[in-house]
Amino acid sequence: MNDNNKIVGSVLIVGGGIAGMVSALDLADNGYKVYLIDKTPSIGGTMSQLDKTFPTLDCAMCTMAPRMVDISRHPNIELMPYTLLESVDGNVGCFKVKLRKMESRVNDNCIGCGDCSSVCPVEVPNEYDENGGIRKAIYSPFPQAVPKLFVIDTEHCIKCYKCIEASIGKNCIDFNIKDKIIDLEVGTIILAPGFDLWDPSLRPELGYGEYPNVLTGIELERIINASGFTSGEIFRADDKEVPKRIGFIQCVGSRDVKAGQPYCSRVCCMYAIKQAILVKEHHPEIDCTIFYMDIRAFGKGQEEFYNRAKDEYGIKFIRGNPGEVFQDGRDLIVRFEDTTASEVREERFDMVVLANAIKPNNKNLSEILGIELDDDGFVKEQNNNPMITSRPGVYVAGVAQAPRDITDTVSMSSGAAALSAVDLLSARGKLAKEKVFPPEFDVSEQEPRIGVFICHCGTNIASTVDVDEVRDYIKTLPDVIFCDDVMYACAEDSCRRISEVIKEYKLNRFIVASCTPRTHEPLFRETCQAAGLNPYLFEFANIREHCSWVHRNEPKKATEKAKEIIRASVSRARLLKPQKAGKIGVTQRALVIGGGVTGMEAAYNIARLGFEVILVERDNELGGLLRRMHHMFIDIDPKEILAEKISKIESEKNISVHLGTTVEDLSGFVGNFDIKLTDGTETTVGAIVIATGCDEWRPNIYGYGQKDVYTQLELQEVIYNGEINDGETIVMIQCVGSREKGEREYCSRICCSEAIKNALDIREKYPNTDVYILYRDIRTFAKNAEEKYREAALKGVQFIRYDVNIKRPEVDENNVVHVFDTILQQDTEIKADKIVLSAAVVPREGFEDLSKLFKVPLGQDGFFLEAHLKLRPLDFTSDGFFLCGTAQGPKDYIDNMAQAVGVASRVARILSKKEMDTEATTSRVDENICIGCGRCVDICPYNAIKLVQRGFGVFKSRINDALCKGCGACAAECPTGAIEARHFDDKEISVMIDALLKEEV
Amino acid sequence: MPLLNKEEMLLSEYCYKCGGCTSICPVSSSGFKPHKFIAEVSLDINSGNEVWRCLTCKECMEVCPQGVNIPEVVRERRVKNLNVPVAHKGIFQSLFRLSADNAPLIDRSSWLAESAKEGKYSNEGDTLFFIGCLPVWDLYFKDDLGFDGKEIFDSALILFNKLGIEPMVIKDELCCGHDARWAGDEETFNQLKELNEEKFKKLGIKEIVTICPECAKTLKQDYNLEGIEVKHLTELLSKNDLGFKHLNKPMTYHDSCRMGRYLRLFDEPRSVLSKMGDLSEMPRTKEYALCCGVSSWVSCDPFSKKIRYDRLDEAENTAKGGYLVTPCQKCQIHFKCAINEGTKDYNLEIIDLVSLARKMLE
Repeated sequence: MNDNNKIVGSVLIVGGGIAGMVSALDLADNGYKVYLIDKTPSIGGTMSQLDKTFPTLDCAMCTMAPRMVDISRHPNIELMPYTLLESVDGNVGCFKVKLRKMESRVNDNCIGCGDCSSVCPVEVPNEYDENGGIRKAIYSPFPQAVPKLFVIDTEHCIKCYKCIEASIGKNCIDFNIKDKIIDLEVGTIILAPGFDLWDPSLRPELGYGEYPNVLTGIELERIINASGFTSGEIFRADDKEVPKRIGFIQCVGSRDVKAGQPYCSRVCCMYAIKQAILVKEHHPEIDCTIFYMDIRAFGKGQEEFYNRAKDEYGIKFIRGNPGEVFQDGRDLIVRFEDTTASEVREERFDMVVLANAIKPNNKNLSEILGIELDDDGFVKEQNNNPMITSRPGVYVAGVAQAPRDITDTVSMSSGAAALSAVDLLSARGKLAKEKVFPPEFDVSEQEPRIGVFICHCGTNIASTVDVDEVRDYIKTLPDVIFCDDVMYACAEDSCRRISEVIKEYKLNRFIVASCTPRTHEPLFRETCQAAGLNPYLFEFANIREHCSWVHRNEPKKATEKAKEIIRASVSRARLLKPQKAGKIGVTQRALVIGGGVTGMEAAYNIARLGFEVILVERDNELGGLLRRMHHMFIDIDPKEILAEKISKIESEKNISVHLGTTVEDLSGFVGNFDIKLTDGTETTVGAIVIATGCDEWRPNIYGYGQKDVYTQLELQEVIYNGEINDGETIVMIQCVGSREKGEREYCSRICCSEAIKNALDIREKYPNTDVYILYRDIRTFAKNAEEKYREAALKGVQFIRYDVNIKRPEVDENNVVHVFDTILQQDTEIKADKIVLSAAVVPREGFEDLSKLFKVPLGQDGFFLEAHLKLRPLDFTSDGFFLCGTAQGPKDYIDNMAQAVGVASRVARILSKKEMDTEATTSRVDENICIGCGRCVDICPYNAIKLVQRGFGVFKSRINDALCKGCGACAAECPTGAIEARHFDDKEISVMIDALLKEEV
Repeated sequence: MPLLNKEEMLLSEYCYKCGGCTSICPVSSSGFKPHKFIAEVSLDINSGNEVWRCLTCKECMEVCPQGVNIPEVVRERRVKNLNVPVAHKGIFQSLFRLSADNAPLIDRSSWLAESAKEGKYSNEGDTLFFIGCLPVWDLYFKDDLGFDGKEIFDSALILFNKLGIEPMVIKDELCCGHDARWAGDEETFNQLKELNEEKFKKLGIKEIVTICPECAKTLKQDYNLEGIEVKHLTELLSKNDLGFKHLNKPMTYHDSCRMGRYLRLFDEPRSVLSKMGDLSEMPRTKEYALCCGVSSWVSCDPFSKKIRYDRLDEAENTAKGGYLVTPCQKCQIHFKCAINEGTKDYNLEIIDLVSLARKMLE
């Protein structure tokens, strides 16, 4: 076989931020070898620097760290930090790449102990803290760094060799190490290099670089972060005083043609709101004011978050772009025009935070790879698919293609993984390895020997709970053989220590007292497993979310409570028994519900990954909402798209399409769902994708129903049919039914772009029409959307801003639109020939039924609710269920494509395995006690229990182990105590209660 | 670097109505709000006489994210609203109109002969010294304000000569049309532009040097002078070391709007002044310098005067007992006028850059 046809089953991922991490884990789980390189010493990227993430305020590091450790342990991922891409040859299937491993002067003997760093005399501003804190010349950038390998920054090292003295005998530092060139063969390449930030001192009127208390957003992020250099204490750089007034200025260098970034940076509104909320949570007395042009809270849960910021936290929002920041004594004075009140004002602040623009960081990579960039320097996508670059086999994920938040980055990263997997399908599994664990040692005859780690969680726990006191107390408890405290239990080096102490002290139970099992239990269980301990002999004591966070103001009592929580865990740990998961075969077939473009694209990609797909569509033809469209944002022909998708579906013999069909019944579980369709089909599928799309709301306001009042979707038809007379006056009203508290609080995300596109179409076809767009905030955040907004203005579309808090627009029975123009501060009347309402995007009819049938949740907004808004946007919490597209929330075609392709990768993680583990901690029925009352059958949320006949009139409850999730509901419900939940049996629970209540055990 | 070309920069349609301009506009308190004005323009609403409040100082453009050329939009609107609130009884407007008829009121030949005391000029050469309005202002401001255009002219010639240039000077020089243009009198401006362009072409010169930032701005940015380079004298001075005495007084520099924000000559005057002594900067400086408060003899009202006093206060706080140096003779006139009103005693001397440079020559 020559090189042209060679397919290598490995992928190079450039950039170890959240984008690269998600792609890496997806591919590695799907049977591909991954080389993950990063130019810094650790993976984690920008997300690892963040404190909390909007709009759920999840701790960024807490959601991320377990994935970082997963990567470090994955047998199919080779992690290459401090490494650059040098050159690339070859084609898709077999690229020959050269990497440069930068000279770190530290070899693989490094165990991350940090002895070298503590003696290093050189102090350098820490890039990870945005130069706020300091690091040494030999360093690891942050405590949870992965890998935990130190590097020497050769630029600042003074060669005093103190580090070598400190590490004598460990043989880990070697000053003779030079840059190393590594040659690799990989099948595809994924680019995830992240981004740069614009230097705000280029807008000197805002005083960045001149006044010490003018910061950037990311700088404030490091200050707020409990793990940052101030331990989360907010104070001014010069006098160390806590600020009383903080001003946030948005769009600093973004949406700024003069600065060179005409585009919207897409995340700044939300992170500023988040930071203001975090400031308020630390210090409710600090006044926060956000200066903005348009608040772009377009994503899921974001408008709600914005409203909370205003209503619950009292954060002030002023529409006005400040022209000047200057210092007067210790105060910073911001000069601005409040464009809603129409007055120029000056306000005093103690700190000013600038939301500086996101800039691409692609130049070097694009030269090495020969891929095309757009005018702004972002990677130019191909075929309206954001992951596809101009070079076959090279994909892009994250901000490198355009600014986007973590949610959208994660979807796209799964998408890039799916496309890579498709290219390399014939080599799947060729280079992959299974995770191998050592044989478990038998603990059945042993007395309990318990080990305990008490985690500081930076300052999250330690600033409230006296960790030393707790540790000393726990050491005194019977059977506790080992107990120690640790800065971050989840850091890679800490996990390594767990393994070591289990072996060293012959421990047969292990407890970590730290954050929450929700995010971290799988990690620690696997750590124990790697040390030969059955994972169910691990016990989690939650002393952060159940203790330190909620009792922040009562450290003494919190310390006592932490002791009690751990004491209870110790009692339970003594009783823990090993549990064993079963194996079950996986049906390598998927069900996709929804035959719109998103469902079709998802089905197509799942099929291309080698799996059968059942595509079910309620209507009698494929295409969904797209059938009603004639021209899509940004300039896409829906007919062409539709034809292309349908021909793709038809060309895939793995897909069987069921039109006019819905799902009638579902039973079974991940890997083997039994489905029954209304057309009579009965089959089994391993995974289910919900791609049921969305709908346009039929308004009951603004004169809808009157003649010549349309929705945007109807307008497309009107334009297409030529039903506009040149010279007409057309008025569009935005946010019709969206952003309304109590009804649909969410932003419908697509309407601004949609209105602008339609307005441009009208002006082009009918140059004498007057088109007005009445808006609250213009939310043109998508790639090239801001440019379209500008183009529309240039081509004479009139934008008039209204504010619902001042006066709502009205449409009278003669189709005269009355609007209060907040800029001109005057009432305006426009006699419209046509009125177009940007009606809300709403869930489709039938979502609730589907939600009930599948037992998958809907969010408050009525759209399907994903497992985790940031990191698992395509998964449901119930295993085997996935979602994509507008079923999850409003989004445009491009974002839908990222999700549609991405979901294929998520589905493949399950279907690519021939068999899978079942839940080990299932419930068990003692048939001797069971009276066959059937209450367990009714309560079981997983349909795992059936009554079986054991004799005439004698029924007994039977639990299907493969279906049971071990939730324990049946055990609680059982009136006779016949059902016991494994791993949470009555005895284990009662000793915990005893331990909590008793002074001593 | 701006992404928009010059033509596109004109477009008011790009405006986000973010209010950045209004927040720093020196006359926004007068009721002229640039962002609101632009909104009115795009909706084709007549904003009335407020259009005459604008100083065309261009500070708004420094903060505009979209590069909307607000002063040019103002100027275009003025063309449609010639309800000019003239100052000084309209004499300057009359003068430039006469000039446009190729009938200048002033006899320049005698003024030239009287003025050149030490300095030497020529009737030919590659470099034309475009004198501008000095003879006119001599007529009008000499008695009231002690303005001495002749001395400024002679000083400029001496500096030219020091640089090894005997510049050409013409007796039939016409107005550049700056004030006509900004007063919305496009007809007059176009006449002057045509006359001047033709004249310069005939002269066969390669370079025009002025000492007036407004002339320099107009000739450089609003004329089509292919093959002729337009400069402010400061540009030549900054490239040469003429040898200056040391000034033992504080001094501060006022960036005139045309010199600074229009011609982007921020560093050149500072490098010249730094050779003479210690230059202190006012808080509002360079791109963000406050305007002197008057534009094209149309806006001498209480708002304008307030700006002048503010600027003088700022200058006095920065260089008490010393000099406020301006590159623009008009700024000098406006400041001197404000001082002359006598509402406050300023411990400050106003001087134009050319005169000071001449004074400090060794």
